Formats: sequence, structure tokens, C-alpha cells
Amino acid sequence: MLHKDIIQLSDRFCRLELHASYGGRETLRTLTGVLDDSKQTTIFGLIEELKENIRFLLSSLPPYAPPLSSINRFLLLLEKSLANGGGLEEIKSRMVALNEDTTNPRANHKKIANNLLEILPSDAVVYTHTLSETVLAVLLELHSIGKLNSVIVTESRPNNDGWDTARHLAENGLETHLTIDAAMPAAIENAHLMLSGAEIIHPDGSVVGKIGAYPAALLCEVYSKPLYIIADSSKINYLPWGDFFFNKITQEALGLDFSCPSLQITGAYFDITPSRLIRAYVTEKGVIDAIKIQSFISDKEVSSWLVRLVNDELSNSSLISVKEKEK
Amino acid sequence: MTNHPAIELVVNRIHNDQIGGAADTAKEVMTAMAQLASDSKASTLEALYNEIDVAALAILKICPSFAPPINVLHMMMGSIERDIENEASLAEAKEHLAEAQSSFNKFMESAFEKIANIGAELIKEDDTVFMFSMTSSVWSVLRRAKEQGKKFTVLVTEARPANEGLWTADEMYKSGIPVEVSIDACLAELMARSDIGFVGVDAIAADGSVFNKAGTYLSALAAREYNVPFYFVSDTLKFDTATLFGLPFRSEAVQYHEVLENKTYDSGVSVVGSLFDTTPPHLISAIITELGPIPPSACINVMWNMKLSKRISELLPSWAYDKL
Repeated sequence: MLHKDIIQLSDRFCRLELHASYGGRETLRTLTGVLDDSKQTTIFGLIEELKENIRFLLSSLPPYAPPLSSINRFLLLLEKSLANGGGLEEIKSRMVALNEDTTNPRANHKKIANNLLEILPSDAVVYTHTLSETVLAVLLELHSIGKLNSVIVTESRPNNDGWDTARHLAENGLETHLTIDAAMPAAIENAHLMLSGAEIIHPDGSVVGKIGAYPAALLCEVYSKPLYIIADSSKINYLPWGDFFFNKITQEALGLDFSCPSLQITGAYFDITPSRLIRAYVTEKGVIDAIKIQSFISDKEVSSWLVRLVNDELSNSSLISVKEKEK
Repeated sequence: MTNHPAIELVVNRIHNDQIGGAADTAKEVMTAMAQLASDSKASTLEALYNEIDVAALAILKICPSFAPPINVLHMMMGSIERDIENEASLAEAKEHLAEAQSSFNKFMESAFEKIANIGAELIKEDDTVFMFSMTSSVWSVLRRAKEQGKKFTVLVTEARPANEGLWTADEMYKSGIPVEVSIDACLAELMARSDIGFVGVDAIAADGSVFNKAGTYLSALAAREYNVPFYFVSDTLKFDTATLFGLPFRSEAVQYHEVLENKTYDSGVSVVGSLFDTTPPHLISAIITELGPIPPSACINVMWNMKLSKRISELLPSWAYDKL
């Protein structure tokens, strides 16, 4: 049975109300809620219920790494607890601990800012597109320590997320210039470097970001301006799931009325920037290039249940052992 | 000297941005200049020259970035300059100015037809055609391809801040051509799905680079990335003679209200950027003109054959740097 909070979370993902990191925290919290509220009396029944809810969530998951990572951590804990013969109550208490064990994002932002300082030229003019929680926090951190003063932002249609970035920066005293997405060439030409956030960093170094990030990266190549991805290492996707829901742009999102009702709106909210256009990835663990991304995820554990679940193989053979234990 | 009412009217209409595009502006400038010449009470050729000179200066002062109205001024001023040099009579000069208008009108009609035919040949059955912003010359190409019975789909982006791309969407719908619209940031995604790209032109430089609505350059880059042939569509009136003298294109800044409308940020966000950008020659497959598809490197040859007015040429540096 689908839990109402899962339906609500899925709806919020579809409407892009949650950004990647927050979406990750909300996913873990909601799955724990499903576990708490479950009326199932057997572990097999519980797993069937979770499977249904997770599959539903995956079907609407935008290309965000943190929520997928949260699902993996959740299933991994469940899997291990059951393997060790833990009961339902013990599993629930471990889930509570898992929720409390979330890394402080602010601490990571400071570390990323410090790592960026190694490569940031003095008096640099930074270009950024759209709104990224991490990029914004890092820019503000750099400004607060006197290392950055000027930023150019493009508005990032639809939703104009770049407006929020510009407002936050200006409110904090940075010299902030805002322009339209189509004026990216001039914006990048006038900047020393581009800093871009990430929804997902794939193991091959390609990065999923808000639509417009890819053309901006192409322009960085044209103007020989370095592009750095500014992201927490939690954005690296180490899981075997790539079938994300690339949310489509709607007429409503464009906020426009057309005289032609059959007119089709086309395009997705996200695009993918290949690693060849990226100079380096600045994370809380250091500044790395694409080749070293694998080393960041080599020790990551993947839930075998998640693998089977995404391949739709969790229904029978993999649960036999659980069934037998219950007997 | 007071200007003719027709000149006052066209100056106001250009200043208040009431004319659709460069070609229409050129037509209205030509009509006003011809009207002035026809109604003139000047008793000498020099007096007529002075009236036309004052009118040309008034138009040039408020003339935006596109080349056609300036080329009209070249035609009219050039005509009377030649007549003064050849010691023609006042009546002959007026006749030549009327002939200039007539040949201009014929040019406009035939150029559009030729361009439509040449451009339409490039569209193949079931093609997906990328188009940026709006321009009547590209619309004519697409309509001609449709008349030829070809089935194709047009992809267009909004072209912020004025969203002229939505005019294209409306126009395609009215013409029965399937069209899909998206935001400017999606243009790389759209280009990846396209077989061919067409854009309009505001001005063409002697070196073959093209000045057009901001976002055109980005479209050209995306076209190169995806190996999509990328054509500019323009009659030769768009060749910008100021660039023959090494002058830059005259751009305009994006205004605060065009981006943020009534939203005010007390914190002091400034709006920057240009309404136009320049696409370098190496990203251009060809410029489709009434003379045929011209490679950017051949633009200089076309411009060398244009008849220029000495007076307008003298004024162009001040116009280019907004110092008239």
C-alpha cells in the first residue's frame, strides 16, 4: 500500500519543489515514516510494502543523487539488520539513528570554499547559472573572508532561479550582475571562471545540472574560461540507476498564453555536461579531476536489494530467504 | 530646418519601437524619404540636398542596430550626391529619387521570393528545423517549403527578453506548420534534435560575422557541437556598410525592466548584457541571400559593389559610437 507521505514526496519531486540535497534528507525521513507507520506484522510483508513505495518514488525521481543515495542507505541498513537476525523494533531504532547521522551541510560548504581558495585567482569575477545551495553558500563564504566580490548570474528560465541567487548575493554585499540566459556569451567572456552546482556527478565525470549549464560549459570552452563543479561528494552517483525522471518544461512553467492551443512545449529542466568541458570538481574532500571520481566511490556499499529492486527482481527469489526465516 | 511630417512620423515610429523589424523599417524610411523628395518646394538642387540631408540625419540619430534603413539613406543621399556631381537638373534629381524608391520596392519583392526559394531547397522531407527568435525572411523560407508539400517540424525558443520566438510559434501555427517551443537555455537540447538551423540577421559585417538577437551565437555554437548546418537568412540590404570602415556593430543593453519587470531589489542587483550578439564567420554554413547562398568570406565582395553615400559614410563613425 502506498504511504500518503510517499505520494506527497513524489508529487513534490515532480513539481521540483525540493532541491537535490534537501530531497535526499526528505527521502530518508519519509521512508523512516513509512517504516514507523507500517501495520505489517511480518518482515516479509514490511519489505513488500517498502518495495511498492520505493518503486513508486523511483518512478518520479528527478536526476538527483542524494535521494537515491538515501534509498540505498535505508535498504542497506534493513538488509544488514535482517541478515543479523534483527527484529522490527530494532530496525526502527536503527533508522532513527540513520536520520540523525546526517552530515552538517554548512561544515561541508566551508570545506569546499577553503578548497576552492587553492585555485581561485585574486579579484576573480565569477559567473554562475541558476541557483545552487552549495554554490551560493560557497560564494557567500568566500565573500565573508574577503576573497570574492563580483559575480555575474544568468536568470535561468523557467522559474528564474538565478534571480534568487542574485538577490542573496547582493543582500550580502557582493557586486552582483544579472542577465538573460541568451546573454551567456557576454557574461562568460567578462568572467574569469564559471562555478556550477550539480544534481548528479556520474562516475564518468559528466554532470547533470539545471538546463542551460551545458551551453554555458560550451561557452567556457570557447572563451578558455575554466568551469569548476562545486558540489558535496554526496552528489556523486555510485548506484546502478540511471532511469531518472527528466522533468519536462510545461506551458504553466513558462507562464505564457498562446493563441494556438495545440502548440507543444518542449525541453527538459535538466541537461548533462560532459566531463571534457569540466576543469575540476571542488568537493569537501578536495579538488579532483574526472579520473579520480571513481576513487571517491570505490568504498561505497550498494544494497543488493536496491539493485534487484530497480531490475524488478526483488519479488521472488531474493526474498525466499526472508520468508524461510519467518517460518 | 523643420522636417517633413512623413520624416517626423517615421522618426517617432522608430524611436517608439512601433515598426516590426529591419525590413519594414527600411520600407517606411524609403517611403518617407521619397515623400519628402516628391513634396519638396526646393528651388535648387542644393536646397533639395539640404532637405534630404536634414531628414537623413534625423533618422540616423535614432536608427537602431540594423543596417537596412541606413542602406536606404545611402541610396537616397547617394542618388542626389551623384546628381550634384553630374550637374543634373532639380527635376532630374527628383526623378532619380523616385526611381530609387521604385527599384528599392522591386528589390524587396523579388529578394524575398528568391530567398524563400533558395532556403526552402535546403529543407528536406521530415526534417526538424531549428529557428531562433523571429524574422520574416526565415518565415518565408518555411512557408515556401510547406507550399512545396514538405512535411517538417519547427523548434523555436522564446528569445528573451521580448520573447519574439513566441511570435514565430504563433506564425507557424497559423501557417499549419508543426511547431514546438521551449526556453532559450534548452537550445542545445533542441539543436541536438535538429537537421538544420535557420536564423535571421540584423546586420552583416564585411568580415562575414553576423549581428543578431542575443542567443544566436549560442545557437550557432550548439549547431557546431551537433554538426547541424546553420544558415543565416537575409537580403543584401542587411550588409552593414559601417563595418567597411572598421566600425563595430552598434549594440543595445538589456534594460532592468526587460528582465525583472516591476520587481525591485533594494540590495542593488544590476542587470547587464546586450540585446544582440555577434556570430563569428567560422560558425556560419552560409548566408542565404537573393544572390544565392554566400559564404561569410565572400561578404566583403558584395559590400564592395554597394553604392555608398559620401555624406552617410562620414556620419557612420558618430552613429556607430552613439555620438550623433
